[in-house]
Amino acid sequence: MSATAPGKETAGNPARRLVLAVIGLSLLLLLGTIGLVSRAALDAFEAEVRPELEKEAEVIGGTVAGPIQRALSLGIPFADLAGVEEFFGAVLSARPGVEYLVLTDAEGRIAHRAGPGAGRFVPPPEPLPQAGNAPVMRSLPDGYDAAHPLQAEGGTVGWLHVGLGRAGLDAAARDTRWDIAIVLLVSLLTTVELLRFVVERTVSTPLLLVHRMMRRLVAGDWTARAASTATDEAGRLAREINALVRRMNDRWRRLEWLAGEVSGASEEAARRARAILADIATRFRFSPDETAEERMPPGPALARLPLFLFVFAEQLSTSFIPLYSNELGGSSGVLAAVPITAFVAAVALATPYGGRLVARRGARDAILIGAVPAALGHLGSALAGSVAEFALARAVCGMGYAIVTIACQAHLAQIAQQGRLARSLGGFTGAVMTGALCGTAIGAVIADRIGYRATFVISVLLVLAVQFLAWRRLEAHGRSCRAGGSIWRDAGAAVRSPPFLALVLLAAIPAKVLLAGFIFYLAPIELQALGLSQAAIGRNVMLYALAMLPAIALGGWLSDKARCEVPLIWLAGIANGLGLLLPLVAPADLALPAAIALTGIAQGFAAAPMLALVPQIAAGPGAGPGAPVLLAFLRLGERLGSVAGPLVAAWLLLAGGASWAMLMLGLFSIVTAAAYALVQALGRSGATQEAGA
Amino acid sequence: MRAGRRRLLGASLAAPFLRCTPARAEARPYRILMLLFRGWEEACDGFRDYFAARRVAVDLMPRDVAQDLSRVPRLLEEAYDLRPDLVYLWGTSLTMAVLGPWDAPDPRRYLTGLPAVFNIVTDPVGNRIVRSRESPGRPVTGTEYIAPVEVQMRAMAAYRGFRRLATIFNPREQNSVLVVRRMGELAAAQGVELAELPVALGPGRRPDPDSIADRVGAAKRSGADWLYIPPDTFLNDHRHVLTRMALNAELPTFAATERFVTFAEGLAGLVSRYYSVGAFTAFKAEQILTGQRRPEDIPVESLTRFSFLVRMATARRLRVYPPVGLLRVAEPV
Repeated sequence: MSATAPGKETAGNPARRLVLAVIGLSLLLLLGTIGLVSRAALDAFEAEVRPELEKEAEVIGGTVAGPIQRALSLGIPFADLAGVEEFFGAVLSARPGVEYLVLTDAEGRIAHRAGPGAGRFVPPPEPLPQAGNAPVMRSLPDGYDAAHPLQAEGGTVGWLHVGLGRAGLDAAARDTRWDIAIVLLVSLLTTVELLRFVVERTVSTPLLLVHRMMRRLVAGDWTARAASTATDEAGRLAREINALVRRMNDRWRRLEWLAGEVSGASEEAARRARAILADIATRFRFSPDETAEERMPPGPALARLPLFLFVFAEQLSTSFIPLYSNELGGSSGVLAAVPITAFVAAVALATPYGGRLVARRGARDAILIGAVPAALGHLGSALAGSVAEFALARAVCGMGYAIVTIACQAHLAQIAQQGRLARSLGGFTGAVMTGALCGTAIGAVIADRIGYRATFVISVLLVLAVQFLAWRRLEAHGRSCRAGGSIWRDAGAAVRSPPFLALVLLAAIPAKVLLAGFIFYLAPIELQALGLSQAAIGRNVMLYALAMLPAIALGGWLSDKARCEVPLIWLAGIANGLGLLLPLVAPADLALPAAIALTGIAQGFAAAPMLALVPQIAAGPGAGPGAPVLLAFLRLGERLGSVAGPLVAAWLLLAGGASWAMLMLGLFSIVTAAAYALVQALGRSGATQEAGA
Repeated sequence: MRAGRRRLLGASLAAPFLRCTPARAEARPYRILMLLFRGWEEACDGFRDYFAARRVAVDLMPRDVAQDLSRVPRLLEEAYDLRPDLVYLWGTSLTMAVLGPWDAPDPRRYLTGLPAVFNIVTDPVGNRIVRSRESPGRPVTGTEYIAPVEVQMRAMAAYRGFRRLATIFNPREQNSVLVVRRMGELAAAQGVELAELPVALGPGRRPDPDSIADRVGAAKRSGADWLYIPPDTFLNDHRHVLTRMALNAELPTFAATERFVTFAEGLAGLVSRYYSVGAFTAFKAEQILTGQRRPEDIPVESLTRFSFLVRMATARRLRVYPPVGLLRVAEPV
């Protein structure tokens, strides 16, 4: 999101406007193309489905007319047909698309009718033909009417009208339109992620390097050379600058040599030469061998892409893990939860160790190490022969997930430019959300086409790509913190830091309890109670992610701008709580989506400030075990909140119903947010008093 | 012509049992002593045709008691003399008379020591021919041919709803009495009135055919929506009189067995085709003869599908037409 965030850093990165233009133009082109293709696909859908509908009306008419015709040919008089309404009722309950079934006599008088649209039956404007036994089709404004002739003793004695509404067709078209919109969104988000990486790698970072070199030179610093290996224009420019630096350093050395030569001639000459050299040295600095290097500044997109790809790979299987478990375990519902639990538990347990690994070995090594269990886990999932094996593979995967995500997070914290910490860390949540959104949506489509096991193989390949990216493109730096000490000592230090403890207990955990309890548990149940289809429920829940993505960027920007992390966090908590109280004042079909969106916005606003606070706490007085370890404990707290959320929500739902559960969760959020604000205010006044004394 | 078509239909119904490969072709034919209650009929056809289709050589030895159970002791003697591979029994009364209760074996009065299959039998558990349907408790197995009474009542309701029912039956026939008792229980539970009208017993406690007219009149006067005819041999013998009288009284009849509709003027019935039941019984007999299973291990079963027969000529005369939905499954006669 940082690429689109406005701010005065625009001046700091000369390529920002260019990057924005390139991404904007690409998106516009992509949007146009996909829009046209989608339009064509929808038209094709209409063209395909319409004759199908006519055929369906004819087929249904045939099956319904059959027994009536049989009754007539067995000698039952038309007027004495029995049980017609019951028969129609049975057909209608099996065929929800049928609007009405109407039986008329030869003159068009209605004898029997049934169906939700029976009142909308319009008799044909002119009498239907009395000969032949082919059905007569009529196209009506909101559907089709197929009239089947019924014959007895050689003549037509009645007509069976089958009415099919467009409602079913329209619903299918609406679903298709939504599917296309989701695919469109996913391709846009993926494109932005990839473009951001490519542009940063090939354009903005080299330009930024050149820009920094220029600033050095302008400031008179001729000691460093640009470390660029690029062969494009930016690289050529860097090499020209390096040549210039070398020439100037050569001149300086020549000047020094000349001064030495001159110094031998006379005392006066020597004094003047020293004065000139001293004058130059006040304005310029040179290096005898230009060993210093101005390196490529590590951009946030460089760290985002591996994370995005990694989460993408992980989430490919989200939509079908329960189905795959059932397939392996012979469809016993309880077993389906085991692999999911194994994964969550492994992530929670491995997260603190991941933080220590990052602290000891640096982010790049940690990603390289963490990708191994992740890839093995996906491979194991692809080859699993039983639920137990699958659960084991998911647990291995969870260990890798814990290590890699915490490494990426720590990396983003390390490379954050001055004054951009929150935005850089917001990029973490953004990349995770985007990866999850895209991976889940595309995963379902891929699995549909190539099967569950093959989808896991794709995850393996993606994880290997992440490993390659980290190996080739990430700088091996940031062995920031002291190693040694046990994990328990780390935990003790984390617990003894009051600001950190307050952040975890009063902000991070409540936020995740709300997220998992409301978005992933209560909301789907309540939406289903409103009569929404599975797809519609999925779209509503996605609203959360869509609302969250821009909020993350905005929260990061605000936090960096105004240095207002703490107020942002507790304001978001209160807003989130108020959102859950919406069903008290508005009808559920409006309040629920609004509450979902508001939760996304509030959590988005708080995401970056929470992460940005951690390095500050780590650097603060009585420094604890270091930012990566604290980040790991923050993530552990969030995991615990995610596990507790659904349980709490389920318990509240059982105890007092859905509205009550939402009310309680909302109040919980408001109370914890207020407590957090209070604790922070007390801590600050305490610190001021201490400083005053 | 009609018999030919029926045989064809029966063969198609029996087809599921004929799917296996033909068993032994040569070797000594199996000897089956067939004890019949009222002569050779369609169930026996089905029994015989099954072995022919499977190319199992059998030597069928039919003996008819012509509804006279006093001939049973002589048949028992013959059975012990002949020592057949299997004894085939037709009908509830005859089967009870030949086999006796499963838990009171008496070689002098009842057949013991020979495997047996029974056919066209009502409620073999209630009549104590076997211990249970799953586990007969003696070297005897067989088939049932009557749809469960609740299923028959549902079938009646599907044709024509009812508040009152009437039934005529022979009080001397255990098969009828059990079915009528069961229907009485179900009717009471559903809040339906059931008029139970046993035919009168004449000299020698034999049922009196002349009382049928009076019972039909009583059924009509009770305001019954249906006259139910249980599986009853006496009524079967007088089915023409019974169904004609009901028709004249404008009383719809519903029968538990085939012949009241196919060979009389009954309106409807949910029945097993005798021919198919005979073939199914032969399927069980074959398992015993070829030694695949012991008869005490073979469960007593009925066919899983029944035929809903409707006699359209009767329906037209009564102007009581089957509902359109029912015509999807009903077999017009």
